[in-house]
Amino acid sequence: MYEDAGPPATAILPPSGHCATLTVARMDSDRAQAIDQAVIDALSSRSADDAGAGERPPLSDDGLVDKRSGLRRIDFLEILESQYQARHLDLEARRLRNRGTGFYTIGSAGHEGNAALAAVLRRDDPAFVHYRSGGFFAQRSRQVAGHTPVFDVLLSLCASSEDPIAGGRHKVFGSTALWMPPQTSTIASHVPKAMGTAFAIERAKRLGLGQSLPFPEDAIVVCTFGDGTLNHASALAGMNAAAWAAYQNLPVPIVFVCEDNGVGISVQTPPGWVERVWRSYPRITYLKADGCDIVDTFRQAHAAVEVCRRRRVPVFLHLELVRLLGHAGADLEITYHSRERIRAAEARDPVLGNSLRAVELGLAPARALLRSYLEIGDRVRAAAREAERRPHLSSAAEVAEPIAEHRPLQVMREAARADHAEERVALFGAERRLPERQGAQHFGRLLNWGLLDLMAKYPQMVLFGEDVGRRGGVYGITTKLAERAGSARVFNTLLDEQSILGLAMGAAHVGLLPVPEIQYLAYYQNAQDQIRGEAATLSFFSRGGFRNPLVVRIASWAYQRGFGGHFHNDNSIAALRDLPGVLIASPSRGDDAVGMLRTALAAAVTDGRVVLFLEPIALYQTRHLHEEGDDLWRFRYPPPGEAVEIGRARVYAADGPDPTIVSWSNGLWRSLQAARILSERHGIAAEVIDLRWLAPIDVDAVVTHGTRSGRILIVDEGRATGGVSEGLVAAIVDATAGSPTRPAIRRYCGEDSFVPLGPAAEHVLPSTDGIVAGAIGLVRPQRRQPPAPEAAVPAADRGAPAATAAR
Amino acid sequence: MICPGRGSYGPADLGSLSRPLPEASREAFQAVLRATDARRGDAGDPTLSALDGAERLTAAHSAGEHVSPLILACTAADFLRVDVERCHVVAAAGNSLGWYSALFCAGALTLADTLRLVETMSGMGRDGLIGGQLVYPVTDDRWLADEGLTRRVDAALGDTRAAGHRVGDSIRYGGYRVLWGDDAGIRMLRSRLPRHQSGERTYPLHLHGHAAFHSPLLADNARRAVEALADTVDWRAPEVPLIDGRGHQWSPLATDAGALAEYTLRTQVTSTFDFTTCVRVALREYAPDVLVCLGPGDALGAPVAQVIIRERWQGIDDRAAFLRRQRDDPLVVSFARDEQRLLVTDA
Repeated sequence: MYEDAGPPATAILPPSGHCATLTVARMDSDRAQAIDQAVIDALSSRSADDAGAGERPPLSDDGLVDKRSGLRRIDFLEILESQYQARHLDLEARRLRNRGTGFYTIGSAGHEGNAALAAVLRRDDPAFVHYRSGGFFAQRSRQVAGHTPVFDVLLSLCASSEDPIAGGRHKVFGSTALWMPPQTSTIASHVPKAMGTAFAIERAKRLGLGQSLPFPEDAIVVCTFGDGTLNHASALAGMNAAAWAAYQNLPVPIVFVCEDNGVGISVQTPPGWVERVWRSYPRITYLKADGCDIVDTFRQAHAAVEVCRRRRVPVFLHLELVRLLGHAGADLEITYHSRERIRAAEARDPVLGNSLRAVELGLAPARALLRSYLEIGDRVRAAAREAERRPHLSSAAEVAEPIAEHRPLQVMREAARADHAEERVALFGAERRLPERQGAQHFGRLLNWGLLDLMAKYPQMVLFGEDVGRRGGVYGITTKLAERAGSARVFNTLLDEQSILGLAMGAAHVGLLPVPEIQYLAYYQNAQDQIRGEAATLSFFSRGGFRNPLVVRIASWAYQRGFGGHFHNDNSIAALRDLPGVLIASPSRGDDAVGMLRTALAAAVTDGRVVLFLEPIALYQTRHLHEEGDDLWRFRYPPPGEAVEIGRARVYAADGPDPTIVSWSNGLWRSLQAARILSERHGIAAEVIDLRWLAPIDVDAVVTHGTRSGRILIVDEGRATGGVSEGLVAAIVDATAGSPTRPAIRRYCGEDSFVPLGPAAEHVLPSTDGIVAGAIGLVRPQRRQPPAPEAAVPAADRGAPAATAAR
Repeated sequence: MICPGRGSYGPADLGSLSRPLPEASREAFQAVLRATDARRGDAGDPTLSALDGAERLTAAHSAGEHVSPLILACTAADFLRVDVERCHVVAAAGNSLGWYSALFCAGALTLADTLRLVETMSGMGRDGLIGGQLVYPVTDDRWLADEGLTRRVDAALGDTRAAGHRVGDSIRYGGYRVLWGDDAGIRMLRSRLPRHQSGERTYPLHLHGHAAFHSPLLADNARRAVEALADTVDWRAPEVPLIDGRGHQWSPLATDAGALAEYTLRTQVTSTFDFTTCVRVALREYAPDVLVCLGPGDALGAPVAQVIIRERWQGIDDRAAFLRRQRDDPLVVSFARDEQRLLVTDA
């Protein structure tokens, strides 16, 4: 590619077998070979100078290389050796790819300075690091004897099922022993939870739980990302939240590290941009270093860590460095960067520069460095030959195995555990004020009591979100909880859902039991990747090594009187339903809500589960079922010990059921109304099933009852497209395939529309009359019912897609 | 290069010091040996040459203060026999006492200093041994992990501790657990561990003449060792990487010699020596073509092979697979076996 592309005689890469990849492989290998050879050449020529000096480096005198930071000669050399290791792993990643046995080439070349960062941290300072962290990983591994970073990284590159962190599910830098939850950090989605972890360390200490932290009480969090990633909303959200808290003098011990190589894939970061923004960001201490230079990086990283550890404040460490070998193996940098620019970056190669610096400073003779560089290369190549032969994931079951633990018996035992009698009395104020001694109450009140009860049971439980403090939450569900359980356990956050969910994950990481509140379903959607890409995947990408048990309460669904519109009455949960391993609860009545919340927390505590708990806004204060004043939607508080099994529906049976109406939440409430109308006015004895859990769904109950009645009407207050009913129909069809008794199925759903403001919402949502009409329509062929009145024609019949599976 | 520990010197090893050495190192080695013999003679101890030249094993051969330096000398001689033209050493390691030999092989200590180190450490047993060691297997006949045996050992340790005795893991040794204990603790362990027959051996196997090595019981020995040797021995960074009894690597470039002394004189003396992890790290981080077990003796092969099997290294997944591999293209080269030794030496 270039006239000075390095001596071809020492080709490292084997020739590629395929023409299509040959060009890419060769151009790529040219640069890989060039930077490798440049180090060898430079150290070889220096070796000639010190040929008489002998091979052994000058021996330990604990001589300081840098007085201010205390950087010793031995530290410098260890860091340099870690950089060698990272570099050779990058070079090997490309060879593995060319051999068809490696699957990841986004490398650390140019970023090896992060080894110096690792050198100033402890092995159990939680580290959320990005994909160019080979130096960091090698260096931190030194702190855990017996760790095998070379082989572990190679296994990860080869997607071997023996990769100790992700088991072949992704190339990540992660390790339980090194307190590095696995990240890829491609979209900075790890920044909010890193912030959350830092905040939660301090919060746990304030709650007197410092002793049970999984690391020392003065631990700090480190979170690294690139200058391209820095622009992501989640990065800005996480850092803003840290600053927001620090601005009120709340401790947030975290070092944000921007490894700024000046380019995001091919898009240039405007020169000076990172510094311009972050040098002046309020309450975040800004420090900058030449990330290519071990001495400067160590010095500034040391200062950053000192400030952060001692003062418990957020720090932004800006490392200016270079990216070598393009964005990834398949990236042809020459298509968007001039050869001068590529060469200029290579001239700043930290492995080369720091090697020469070591010689100049007299830390080690060039021959010793050269030997170390070459021998590490040999080791990596040899280990790769074994790594590429190690086994891969061999079945769907093996791939999915670590998504979520599922031990229903243990979960139910934990949910029913009620050994907190004293704590309950303390929080509720007196025996006589215990909730099970009170009369029937509506959903909101029961849930409020249920939360307080669980706070008595779990001293590590924390509840937070917008307005949940003194205001008691957007709908009063957390009223007086802060007063009773303390404002350290029930507290307001800033208005940012990414930060709330990030805080939840962080709290889970430090051993708290987070129950965040999201004000509205549409607000959850704004931040959903925090669950979708982070919380839900953590166990998967760590083979269960890390878990983030949490229960997110979300005020959900539509039908709210006097308020509403899409942002407050969103009725779509399509983006929640396809998350493997995530549980979705959607109770319709208060006693169920309490029982289900107990189970949700038990699943979090016992199996490390992530639970989305959808609460129907419109039913929070509802007291009646059929007519005002009937008080039929108020229930007694279920005493401790009672809980609702995960995935277990509730059946409201009728005599001689025909048909079976399946629903949940608001739809369920309306279905029960419809059932009475059907019975009283039309002689139809409908049975009604409340699914209660939307993941997993109680398909068995639906199929059993539906098969008996022969007809199933699904009432889905969500949209017709992507809603629960789509999945439910598919599940029934699957479960009854080939069965002569497959029931007829009909859906009655919300329109494929956004929920409008005010009474117009009724046009796009299922109604009681519509359910009646739908049920009559379903049974009409047998019963010859007169046509339903015009007003009662369900929305589904007016054009919404209504899937009907014939018997 | 893997160096053996105590108990490795057997009848077959008698005379091994007089086997030929390469010319390059012969003189220097023999000079050190002569000096050591002279010093030992002056002190009234049997010389290493006399011990090695004996017709049969004697009581002196099972006394640590005599046999330990003898083992070191034999290991060092074997190391010097390795043909470095054909065999590029990528790392050195050892089991227990073998750690000291590895320090010599890696170039971190001179032979004279290593001998002094070993004589000092083993000499601390002259006034009476503190506690003892016993061995119990935790793999089955195929050399696969046997959870039942592991549970037995853990239960026995738990019971013995509960009875107020001090016991623990001394060495994790491939398919074996070497346990330490105070005298009462060893007695109780022996009574608690069910008899287990494996090959010709019956376990638990009490190691006569061994103290509670690698245990907190030796804290005072460690203190005395630091006093005697931290500053008087020329601790240097190794010339090839060393892997210690935790699996930690000491590289030629980045070794703090003071830390190496601290580890050698204190840490490994008073805490479990994890030879299993040591070999695992050697495999995973160095992927050597062969693992060379230096003499004396042929005891290292089994525990090394058991780690190889545990790692399913190069597809070797049980004893039979290991033996097949050894027959065709040995992965473990034992100096005690002539045909294997010839792979790495010229004699």
